[in-house]
Amino acid sequence: MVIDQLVKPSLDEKPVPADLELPLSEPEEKRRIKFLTKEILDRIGYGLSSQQFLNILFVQSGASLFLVGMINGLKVMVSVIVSYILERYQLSVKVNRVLMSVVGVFFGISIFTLTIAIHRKSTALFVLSFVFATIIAVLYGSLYQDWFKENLEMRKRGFFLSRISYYGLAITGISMILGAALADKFTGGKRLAFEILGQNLRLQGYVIVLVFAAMIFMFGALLLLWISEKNAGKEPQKKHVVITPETWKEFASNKVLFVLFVSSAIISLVQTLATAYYGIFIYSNFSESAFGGFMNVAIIFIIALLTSVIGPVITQFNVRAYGKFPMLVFGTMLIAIGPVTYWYNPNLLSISMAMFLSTIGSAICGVSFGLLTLELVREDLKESYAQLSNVLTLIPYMIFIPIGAYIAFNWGMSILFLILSITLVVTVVPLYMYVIIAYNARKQKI
Amino acid sequence: MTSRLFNNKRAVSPLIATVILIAFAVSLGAVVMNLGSNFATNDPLANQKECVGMGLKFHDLNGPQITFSGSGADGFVEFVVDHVGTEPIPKVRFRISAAKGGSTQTFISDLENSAIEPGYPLSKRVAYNYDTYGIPKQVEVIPTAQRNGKDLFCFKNSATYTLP
Repeated sequence: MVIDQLVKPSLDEKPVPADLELPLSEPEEKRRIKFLTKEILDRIGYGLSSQQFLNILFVQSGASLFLVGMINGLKVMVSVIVSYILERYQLSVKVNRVLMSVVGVFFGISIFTLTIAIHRKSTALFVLSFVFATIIAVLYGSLYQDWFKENLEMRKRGFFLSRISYYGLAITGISMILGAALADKFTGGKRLAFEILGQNLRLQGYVIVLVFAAMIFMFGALLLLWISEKNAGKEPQKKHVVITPETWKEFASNKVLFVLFVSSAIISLVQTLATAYYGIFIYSNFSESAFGGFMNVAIIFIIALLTSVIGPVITQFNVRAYGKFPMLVFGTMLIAIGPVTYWYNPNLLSISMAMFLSTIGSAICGVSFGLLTLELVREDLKESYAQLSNVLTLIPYMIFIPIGAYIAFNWGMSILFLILSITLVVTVVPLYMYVIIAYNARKQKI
Repeated sequence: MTSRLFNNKRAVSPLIATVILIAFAVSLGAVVMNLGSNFATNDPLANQKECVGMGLKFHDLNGPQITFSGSGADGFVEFVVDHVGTEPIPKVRFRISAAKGGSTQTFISDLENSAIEPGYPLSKRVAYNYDTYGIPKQVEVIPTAQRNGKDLFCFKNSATYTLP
C-alpha cells in the first residue's frame, strides 16, 4: 500500500549473493539505474506525504476526530476491496509502462488535490481525494510490483535495488524528517514567501512538502516511460484467486482457523484505530516540547519504521523456541502496550518505547499468523483463504470503526486508547489461551 | 546434561511458555509505561496527566478577543477563547491579576456553563469591579480538570494575555 508508511520488507524475494549476480551490459546498467531512481523517488514521496502528517493536517483543516477515524477505516476497506478485485480479474489487464505511468501520474494528482483540500479547508474534497488516492495507490503498487518483477530479474538488480525494501525505509525516514522540519519552520504566521509569474505567494510549510511529494510521485511515474520493456504488452501469467465453497467449508469446519481469523480481525481493527490517532495525539500534546509539532511525530514514527525491519528477525528466532501460539499471545500483549501508554503516561520517552514494543508485537503476530496459516490451510486453498479472511474482515470494520471513531470524538483519544488496549487483553489473549488449552488436551488424549 | 539442555528446542509446554511470556510482556509494559514519569517530579505542573489534551487560546481577530467595558463597580470583561486541544474541558476558571494602589490584586471566578469541546470557542461576559480590584494587568482562562473528585487547574494549558 503506497500511503501506508510502515512498508514491511517483502520476505518472499530474497536478495541474491554478489557472486551469483549476472553481469550487465551498459544499456542494462542504465536501465537498472532508472529502476533504482524510480524506487528512491517513491520512497521520498512516502516520507513526505506520511499518513500521520495527512491526519494532522486533516484535523487542522477543520475535520472532527470522528471523520479522521472513519477515513482511516475507509482507507483499509477500500484497499481490501480494490486488491480483491485486482486478484480476481487481473488476467484481462495488459500491463505496460504507459499504463503504469498514467496510473502513477494520477496518484501524484491525487496527492496534489489532497493539498488543495487541506489548504482550502474543504472536508468533502479531502475525503474524495483520499479515497481516490487509496484506490490509485493499491492499483499502482500492485501493478508496478508485477511489472517490475517481469522486467528486471532478481539476479540483475544489484546490491541496492535488491535490498531497496530495507534501504528504502531509511530514505523514507530521512524524507519524513525533512518534511517535518519544513512544515514546522513555516507554520502559522511564518510562511514561505516567493514570486511565481508575477504572483506573490505565501505558503505554509506543509503545502510545499505535499506539492513536492506530488511532483516526486509524478516524476517517478514519468520515468517509467524511459525504461525499455521486455515483452511489452504481454498478458501476465497470474491465476485468478476465487473464493470457492471449499474454502468456506475449510474455514467453517476448522475451529482454530476461526479463532485465528477473529483475533487477527480484532488486532487489525485496534491497530487501524490507534494509528489513526497516534500522530494527532503527539502533535497536539507535544507541539511545544522536544523537537516541535511535526518533528516529534516524525521521530516517533521513524522508530516504528526502523523497528519493523528487526521485528520479523526477532520473531523467527523465538517462534522456534516458544511455539507459535505463545508468541501470538506475547505479540498481542506487546501491541497492547502502545495504546495504554498513551493513556497512562503520555510523554515522548515512554511513547517512543511503547511504539518500539508495539511494532515488534505486530511483527511477532504477523509472522506467527503467517506460519500458522501455512500449517493449517491446505496448499491449494492458501491464496483463496487469504482473500476470504480479508473480505470477511470488512464486516467488523464496518461495525467497529464508526464506534471507535465516535468514542474518540465524544470522550477523547485517551479513553479510546485505553479501550483499545483493554479490548486486546480481554478478548484476544483469552481466545489464544482457549486454543492452547484445547490443543494440549487433544495431545494428551492422543 | 548440558548438551541436552541446549539441544532441546521445545523445553517448556506451550501453556507454561504462554504464562512466562505474558509475565514478561506485563513487566516490560510496566517499565515502559513508567518511563520518563520521574523526570518532572519537581515540577507539579508537568505531572498533571489529567490536563493532557486541554488547550485554550484567546481567539485572534486582529488581536486577542478581550474587551474591558464599564467602570467602577459596574465593569465587565468579555472574552472569546478557542479550545485548541483534543480532550473536552469540563469547566474553566477566569483569573485577572490587577494593580491597585501599588499592590497586586487577584480576581477569580469559576465560570458556570463553561464546558468546551475540542475545536469549539467559548464566549463569556464576566462582571468585574474596578473599584475593588483595580486596573487589570493580566487575564488568564484556566482549564479545570478533575482528580479524585477535586478540581485540578491546568495552568500550563491556560490562555494568557498580558495587557500592554
